[in-house]
Amino acid sequence: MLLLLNALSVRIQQWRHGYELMKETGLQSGTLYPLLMRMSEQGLVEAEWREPERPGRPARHAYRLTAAGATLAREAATPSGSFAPEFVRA
Amino acid sequence: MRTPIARAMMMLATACMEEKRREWGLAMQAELEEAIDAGKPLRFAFGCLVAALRRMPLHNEGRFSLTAHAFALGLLIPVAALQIGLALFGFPDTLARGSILTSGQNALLAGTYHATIPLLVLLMLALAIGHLGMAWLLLNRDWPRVVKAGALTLSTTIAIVTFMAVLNLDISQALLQGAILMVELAVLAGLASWHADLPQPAEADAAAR
Repeated sequence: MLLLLNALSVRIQQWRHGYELMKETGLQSGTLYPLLMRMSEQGLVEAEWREPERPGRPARHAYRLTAAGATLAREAATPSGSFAPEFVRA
Repeated sequence: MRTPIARAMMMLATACMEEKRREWGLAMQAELEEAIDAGKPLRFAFGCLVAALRRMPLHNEGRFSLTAHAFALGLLIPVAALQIGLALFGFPDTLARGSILTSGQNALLAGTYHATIPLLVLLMLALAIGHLGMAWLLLNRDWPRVVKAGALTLSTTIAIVTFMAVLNLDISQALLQGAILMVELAVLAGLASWHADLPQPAEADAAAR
């Protein structure tokens, strides 16, 4: 989860797609999507359908950190930051 | 060839997800197009499928689906296979050998009994088809037709037992099958009730919003 938080916090306002996040974090789809779902349910990530960039393609889901997610990412970036065990395990 | 397999895996992954997360399934399907462009569709789809399968025991819809598949594949279809085997290979031979004739029958009438074999075979096949139909319709969650298939199977079983009893044949095996059918129908009723309690697509959409 920390990997994903880091990746999403680099360009915090920018909507990011799943495949792009996979390439950036090195996470497999089977790990990335359960993480995104859980983070979305915890209010750390918001998701939105975006119009396809190329004609004939389906609309894509895009993700970015919420304010709570951004705060958590900042805390994660500082060495003194302490997290709930479930965040560390994930 | 890899792309159609990946698409099929992705459809399966989406189908395995609970209704409230169906949107995530669609999101993964949309992202598959990127994986296809990158030349790694199978890896992407396999990961999504494994993630969806791993979550199945954790949500009520997944548990229902696993139970329905286990019931269909573990009981209904084997029973149907047994009945087909019995009808085509076992039952006529047994009857022909006269081993199920009871002491109340006149051995001189054996020829008459043998003449009933085709009708009994047809009834056994109808029973097997009823079981296959129930399995298929259960997995499609088509409950009105499950009820019809169940009624057909039950009436066929009653017909077989009655027919064999009238002919004074040994009906213990037919009664055993009838008992199994009653258990199956009770489980189907339980599954229908469970399914009615699950969130339906329209409710899940509203909950997601």
